[in-house]
Amino acid sequence: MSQGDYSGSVFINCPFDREYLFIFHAIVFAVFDCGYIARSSLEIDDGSEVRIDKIARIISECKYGIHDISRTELSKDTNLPRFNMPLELGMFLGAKRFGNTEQKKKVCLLLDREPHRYQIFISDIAGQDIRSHNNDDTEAIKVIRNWIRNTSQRLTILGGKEIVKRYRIFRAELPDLCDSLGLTIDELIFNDYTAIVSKWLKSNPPGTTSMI
Amino acid sequence: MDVAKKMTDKIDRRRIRKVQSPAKPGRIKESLIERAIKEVMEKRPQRTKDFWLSVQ
Repeated sequence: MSQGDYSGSVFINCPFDREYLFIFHAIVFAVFDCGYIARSSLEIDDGSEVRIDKIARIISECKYGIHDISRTELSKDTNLPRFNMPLELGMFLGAKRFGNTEQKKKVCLLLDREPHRYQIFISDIAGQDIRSHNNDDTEAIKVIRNWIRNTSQRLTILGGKEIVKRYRIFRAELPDLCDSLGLTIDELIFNDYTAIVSKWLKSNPPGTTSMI
Repeated sequence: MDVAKKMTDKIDRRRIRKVQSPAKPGRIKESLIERAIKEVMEKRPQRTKDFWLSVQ
C-alpha cells in the first residue's frame, strides 16, 4: 500500500505538544497494527507549501480521520484556546459533506477527555458519537482498535488487549532502538517514528510476541 | 472448484494480515532501522532472563 491509498489511510488530527506525545505515539502504533497508514500534517516539512493547503491535501487523501479535541482549552499565557484541532475537524467534515463520491465515504472518530465536554465549545456537532481516552494510552489504543474494527469490518484486526501488549513490548524496546540509531525518543520526528513502527511490526507479526 | 472451497479461499486471503509502510519515508535509512530492530530482538532472551533473576 502506498501513500495514494485513500481507503487505507487515517488522518490523525491531534495536539503535538510534549504532554500529549505518549497518546500520539500509542494512536500511531494502533493504526499501523490494525493494518492502516497513519497520516499527519507533521509528515511533510516543505516550507514552500502553505500549511492549510498541506492539511487539506492530506485530509483529501484519507478516508478515515481521528480527531482529538481533548486539548481545546485556554492557554495560560494568552487566555485564548488553540483551535487548530476543531478547525481541521471542520475541514474533514466539510470534505465529507461537499466532496465527491469518494470524499463522502469519509469516516471519523472524535476523541475528547470527557464524554460531553465538547458540547460546551462545539455544540454544532452535538449528536455525534464522541469517545473518551481519559488521557490514557491503553484506553486510546482500545478505542482506536474498536473503531477501526467496526468501521472497516476487516477480519484481520487483533484484539485491543493484544495490541496493547505488543505496544508495551515495542515501548520497552524503543529506547534501545533509538540508541542504536543515535537518537532519543523526544527527537523522533513523525516520519522516523512511523518508519520504526512499521518495520518493528513487520519483524514481529502476531503470535511471535506472545512468548516474550 | 466448488463454491464452499472458493469462499474458504477468499476468507483465508482476507485473513492475511498486512502492516503498511509509512506514507513518507523517514530520514533514517531503512536498513539501519532493520539492523537496530534485529539487534534489539536478539537481546530479548537475555532481557527475559535478567527480569526473572531480578524478581527472584
